[in-house]
Amino acid sequence: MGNYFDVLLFLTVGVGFVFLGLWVAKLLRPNLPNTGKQSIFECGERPYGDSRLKFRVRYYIFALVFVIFDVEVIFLYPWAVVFRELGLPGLVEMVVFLGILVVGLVYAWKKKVLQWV
Amino acid sequence: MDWSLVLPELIVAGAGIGVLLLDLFLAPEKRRLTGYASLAGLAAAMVASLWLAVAKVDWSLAAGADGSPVAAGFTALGGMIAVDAFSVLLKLLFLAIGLVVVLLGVDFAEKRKLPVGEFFALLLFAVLGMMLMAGSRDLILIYLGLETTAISSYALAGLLKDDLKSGEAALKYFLTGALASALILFGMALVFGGTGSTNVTALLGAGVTTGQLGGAGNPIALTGLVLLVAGFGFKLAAVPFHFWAPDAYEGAPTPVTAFFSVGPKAAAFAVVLRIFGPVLALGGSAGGAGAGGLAGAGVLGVLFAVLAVVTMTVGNLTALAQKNIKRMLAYSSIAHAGYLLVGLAVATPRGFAAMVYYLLAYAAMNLGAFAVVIWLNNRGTGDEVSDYAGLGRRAPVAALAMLVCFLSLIGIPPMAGFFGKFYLFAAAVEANMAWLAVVMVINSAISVGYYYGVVRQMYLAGDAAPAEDHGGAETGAPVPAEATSTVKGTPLVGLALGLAVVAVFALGFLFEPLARLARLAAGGL
Repeated sequence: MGNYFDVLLFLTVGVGFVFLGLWVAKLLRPNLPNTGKQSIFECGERPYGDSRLKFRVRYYIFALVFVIFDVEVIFLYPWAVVFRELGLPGLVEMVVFLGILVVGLVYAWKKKVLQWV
Repeated sequence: MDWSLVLPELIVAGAGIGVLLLDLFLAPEKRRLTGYASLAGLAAAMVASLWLAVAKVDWSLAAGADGSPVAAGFTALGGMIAVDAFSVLLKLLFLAIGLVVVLLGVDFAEKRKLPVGEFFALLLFAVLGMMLMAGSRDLILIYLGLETTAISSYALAGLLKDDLKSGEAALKYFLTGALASALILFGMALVFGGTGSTNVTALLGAGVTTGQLGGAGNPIALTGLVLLVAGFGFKLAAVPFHFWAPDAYEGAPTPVTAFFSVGPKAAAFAVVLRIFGPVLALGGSAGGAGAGGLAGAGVLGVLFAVLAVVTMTVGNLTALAQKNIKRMLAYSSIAHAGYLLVGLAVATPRGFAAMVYYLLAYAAMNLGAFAVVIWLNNRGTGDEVSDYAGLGRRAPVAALAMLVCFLSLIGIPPMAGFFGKFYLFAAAVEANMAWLAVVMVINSAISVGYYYGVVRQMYLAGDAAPAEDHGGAETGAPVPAEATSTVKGTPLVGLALGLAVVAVFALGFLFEPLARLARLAAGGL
């Protein structure tokens, strides 16, 4: 049980910390709402219309290709940190990994997925 | 790390990527080349597997725990990759299946406007996944292989983009497959929780086998194993997890159906043998006598016996009512999964060896039957059983080949199917489970009914009138222009059919050495 108690403690403290912070902030902060503050945050843009509108299906494929390369970057960072210890085999493995992903990109490119029509 | 141990897998993976790229840069009318490239890749991987079998697998006979011969092998990547007789034999089988399916698919893909490059690339990736499944003792790699196969298979089922049935097949296969994956993952998590290791050999020391109903033992790992039975039950299309199979088989492009009926199924059996084989065998030798006639006792043995009986009976009885040949073969393949499960219920080294041999025989005869269906379909014959009327006169060679494959599926000597069933019977009787053998015999008798229905259409019924030839139109096939003239096949499908029929006989005639090989393979589990 010992190990799992640590996990339980971690979960309790982690979740509790969030709610505690929100509760304390609510006690301390002044409450002065206005229209600008209560509108939806759209990265600095002025929001317009309803958020439940139809998106073009092409966004989906773009998002998919984007996610693949996003994940690739996640792998690249830790690899870069330990690059010296891994040496040549590490380089070869990463080139193979990137090569396979590039094949996917070439495939999407040739299938005209990247073209906006 | 000795990379040569995974050489066949590397070749297949490279071939898959190469085919995908080749397809992109070829003019549409030259895309047949991707098929030939796939053939070359699979053949090279077969050579590599044979080299592994000669150079790396230790075939010298060491005596196992029960005095039976055992072939040792190599493990790599911390036990994740197992190169032993079992994995090499099954990899060769999977590569051969891939080879035959490519041969079956080249003309079909051209005729029905399948995306050719994607078809062969996905097929190669599916074969790669199957090879990883058979070649691993580690639950994580097994799961990765399983998903590689499954995801490729979902896409393969839906390749006929304009055909609603193909879309239905893909969706049903995907949804049930996702459920099965969830069950398998949960089961694997519990097994890991119960044994503390992702390596399946850890199950042997985990006290799973003492977990009789109501007894002490390792309930967490046992629960995980039961979940794995359910999850792999979906993959094997064992009753009651079979309901997706007929729809997926009917809607998928026929070469893909041929692949589904032997490839992923055989791979799932390989995994089930790897995970459950040693556990069941241990249970059999430990508590055999105490459990009233059911040697190989324990909850799992009973579970597999029940699954086997239900699967073969429901599969055969439902097949009797089918009018579409692809649906009929789907139910027939369910029934054959039931026969194969007998080997697990028996849980002796001989039972496992019989399963390995039966997998080889089943792949040959089922691919042969599908080759005939594709051969005829390419020439415009529909997929309904009634479309086969008078085939014995229109296409005597195709009809004869179909007859040979059906006789083998029924289990008539001297075809491979007979020896496969005989081996399973013998294993069941030897393990004091004669009742299971009796159920098998009764089921084989039932199966004569639907196989004979097709044979009767081919040889005894009159020619199908063109107006009745609606099956092809329904599935989007070209309307038969020459239903009454002599039906000719396309050469590649003919080659595949020839290979399958030769294999059906050769596996039968070579029963003795192959059975020894199967014994060695099963001994190394």
